[in-house]
Amino acid sequence: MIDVARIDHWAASGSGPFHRASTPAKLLFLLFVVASAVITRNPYPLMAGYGLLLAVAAASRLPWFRVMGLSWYAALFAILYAISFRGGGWLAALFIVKAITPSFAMLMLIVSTPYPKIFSLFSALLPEILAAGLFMTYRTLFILLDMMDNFASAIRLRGGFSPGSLYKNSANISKGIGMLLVRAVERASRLYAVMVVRGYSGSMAEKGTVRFQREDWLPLGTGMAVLMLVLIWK
Amino acid sequence: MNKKLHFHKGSNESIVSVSCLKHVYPDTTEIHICGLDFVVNRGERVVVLGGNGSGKTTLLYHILGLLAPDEGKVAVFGINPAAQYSVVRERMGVLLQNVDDQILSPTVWDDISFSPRNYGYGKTESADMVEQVMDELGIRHLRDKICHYLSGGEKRKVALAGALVMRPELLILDEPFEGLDSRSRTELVTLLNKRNAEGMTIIMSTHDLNLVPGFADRVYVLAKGHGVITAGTPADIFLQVDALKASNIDPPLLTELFLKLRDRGLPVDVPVHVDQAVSDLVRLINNR
Amino acid sequence: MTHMHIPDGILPVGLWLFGLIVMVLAVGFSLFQLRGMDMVRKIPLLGVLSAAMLVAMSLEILPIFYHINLSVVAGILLGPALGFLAAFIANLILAFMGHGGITVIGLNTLLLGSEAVLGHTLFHLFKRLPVFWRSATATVLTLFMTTMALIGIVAVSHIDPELLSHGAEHGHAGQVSVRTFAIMVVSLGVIGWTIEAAITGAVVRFISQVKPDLLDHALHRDKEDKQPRGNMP
Repeated sequence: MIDVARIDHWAASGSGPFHRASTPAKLLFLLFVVASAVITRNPYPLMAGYGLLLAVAAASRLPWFRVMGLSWYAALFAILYAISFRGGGWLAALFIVKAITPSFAMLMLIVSTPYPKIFSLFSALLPEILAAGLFMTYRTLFILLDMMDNFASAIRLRGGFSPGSLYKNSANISKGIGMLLVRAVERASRLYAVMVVRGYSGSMAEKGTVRFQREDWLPLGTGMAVLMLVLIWK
Repeated sequence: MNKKLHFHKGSNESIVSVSCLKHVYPDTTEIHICGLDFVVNRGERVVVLGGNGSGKTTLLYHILGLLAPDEGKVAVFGINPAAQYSVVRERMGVLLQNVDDQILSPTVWDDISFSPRNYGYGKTESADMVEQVMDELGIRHLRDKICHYLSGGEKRKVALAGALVMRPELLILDEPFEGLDSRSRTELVTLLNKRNAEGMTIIMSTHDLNLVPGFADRVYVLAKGHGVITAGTPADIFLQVDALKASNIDPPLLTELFLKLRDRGLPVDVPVHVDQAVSDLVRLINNR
Repeated sequence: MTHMHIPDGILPVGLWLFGLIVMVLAVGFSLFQLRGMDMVRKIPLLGVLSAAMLVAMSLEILPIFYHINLSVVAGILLGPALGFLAAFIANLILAFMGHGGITVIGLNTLLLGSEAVLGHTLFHLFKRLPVFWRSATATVLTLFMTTMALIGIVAVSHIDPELLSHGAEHGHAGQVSVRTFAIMVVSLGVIGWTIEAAITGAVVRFISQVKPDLLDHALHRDKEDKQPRGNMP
């Protein structure tokens, strides 16, 4: 699982051109790359597209090497899927590059854009409960991650983790998860009370607006270039 | 929607009254808060002292309308807050002990503007209210920050900003000084006193007796199983050492020192402030 | 092994569009089922349980990217409607963590959400079993069924003549074998189901010891209104 705290930190602390581009432009960039992956029937233009994304990520001072590694996570399903076709190396290459290229684009988006900005655009489209649930999930995620970290440290300090003892470790992890859920539910009760006290009536955060920036040429141009590669190189 | 509140400081108008409260939690824990009635007049700064489990937080949550009593009466602005919360909630602000429970939105701006947005204030008016309170608390530089990455002190300021943005008539604070360094505590007390001078009524629970003299007009002391055991000014309360010990609170060091000096036969009053103590000691030394 | 999130670009357009449409209908139905519940009460529950699912997914049990996901537990605690919505939110956030595609959010949500729904249903069906075995059995059966659903999705997706014909142009017959995929997925899945069943059983047993009312849908009830706004503190 991707380290969400690290991604969030990258997104909040970067200052390169990709970071400065607007969220709508970067979402369009993502859509262009996804569209390219969907329509292509030839792995080579998409491989070139992947290379282009790598170059842009490196030039924009994104953590490109780490992002590249994370993008290969998507290859697992692609490999199994390709094997099921028994279509040989060409088909396998096609499936793999179809999986990792949009994954890379998504990672470029999320390491350069704080999640609240992404979610605030979605909040304009989703029903209130889902939009608010999205923000609440994001807000709670870090608190629970910290809680889990603390619990893991406590278990370790008290001798609850032993290398090789699968049963013992699993039992303790299960207790940790159980405690996490109980605390999560109690927290939900407190959050409910605070939402009532603070007068919640449908707005968790400000809705995002579509406003483009000068640096938007970079994500838009890159996305369009990948799409052009796929359309022209058949 | 243009909201202006007219405060009447120093009136005898009772805006909070709680009498003989009993509450049973789902896990069957019972809390009784009887003894003296708990009354807060408009414009007062009231501190609630009590040890762990004495019912301080339960009392505050009944005032906020988050809990309904199984027995007893609670009235805020003359209304039962649990039954008619929507009538009074816009007039109240709250700062909880755990600020992570209070901060709901992802960014600082989103969180402080939470209440104005949800109460239907226009975008411009909300923005003005938020800018004003951010300036007052000196947190303008945190505007676009994600709340999770703030320090504990910064989170507390954001939570307080969220509570003050609506310029409430009544502010309730549950252990607001926990985790704050001494400078931050002083800043918070100064801010609260300023708002009180403008007419805001304040109810605060705390363990920190040293801050009480510089802040409280009236103090209520709760003891576990006994409810409100005494009430009065800080000077009155600090002299009631037995009552404080019954609620698991040690009297301030200054009080203890001067009580012991008095026991030794020295003609001293028991001061509440350090300045007063210095004057008394200088007078005593000069008279010898 | 439904926790293998399907990435973008692989499945035929018609299939993932269909998945999106069904997901929207399922989300709509879930919202309709929840219409009687206080909105302000639903949001924190959704938020914290979705977050808990995501935290659980961050715990890698085996080095081959296998992780538990608590979807069955979420279904047990939240009920089928809220559980499905929690699965949707978790999946949306996962997609925006690069863990599963955007176009296939529909299919991924249907898989994860159905685990919440099935898990809840089976848990309540096996009332006579001790709570550990009740949840573990519900988990194994749920994951088996949703893995079959995943294999079904892959089987349907193999009906893509254009892809196969392009493959033929490049000298490959593109011989379809869902069986190979199924064998691999089930083989890996059995290990995962066992681990997840054990952990789910232990977690639910822990909850039954610490806060048993959570297993009776206490989260849905408006607390018989002695405490109209929640159990504090």
